[in-house]
Amino acid sequence: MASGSRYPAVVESELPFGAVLTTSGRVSAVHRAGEEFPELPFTEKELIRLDDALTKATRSTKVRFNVYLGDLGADTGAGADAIFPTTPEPERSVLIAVSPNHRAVEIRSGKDVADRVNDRISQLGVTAAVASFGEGDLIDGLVAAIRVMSAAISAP
Amino acid sequence: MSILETLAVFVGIPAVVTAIIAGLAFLGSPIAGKHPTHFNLGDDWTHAPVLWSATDEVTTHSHHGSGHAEIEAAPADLIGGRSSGKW
Repeated sequence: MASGSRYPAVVESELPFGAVLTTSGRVSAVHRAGEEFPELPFTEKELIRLDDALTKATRSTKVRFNVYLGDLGADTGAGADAIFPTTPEPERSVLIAVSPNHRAVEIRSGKDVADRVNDRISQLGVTAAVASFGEGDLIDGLVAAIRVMSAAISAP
Repeated sequence: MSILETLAVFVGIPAVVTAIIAGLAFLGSPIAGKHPTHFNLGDDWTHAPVLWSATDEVTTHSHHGSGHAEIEAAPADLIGGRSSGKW
């Protein structure tokens, strides 16, 4: 990852309540009864579909597909530009960034694959995603965007 | 003891006790917590940001550059194609 090296990786004083750093370096944390589990708010089936789509697209195009879901800030374009360098292998990747609170989707591709993933292909991805997002289906839109883009990208 | 009393003491009472304890077990939640409610578009996204990637997949040029070029380069230098949309 291009997030830069950070030492120490775990700062004990920054850990949440009920978490402890063991001597081996592992973090041991407690789950208090009744609290929400730290899970994603999606069903297992949806996550598997997304995972399969990402794997197939990355395998067939040799371009790394990344999906970011979260707040991109008021200027979603600038937010996506800021996140792009922190994603895995940015110069050879496609980033599909979705900001549900701003109802915006941003697609960026790396400079090393710019000839294959050009603006026209990223626009295809946006079109596919927005069609499903309009119907309220997030994972469907992401999977559609990944499939459409990987099908349109010429093979390596 | 008549046969009915024997049945009541050795079958009836244990069955009632078992039923009460089993019933109590159903009162609580089967799991020690809650699963987050499903996120549908239109709801507010309150979770931490998520980044999905097929990190186990190997791309042909996975060791391109020093690995730190991304950090030193300005963000815009890494971007080849771009597009955006709203819904």
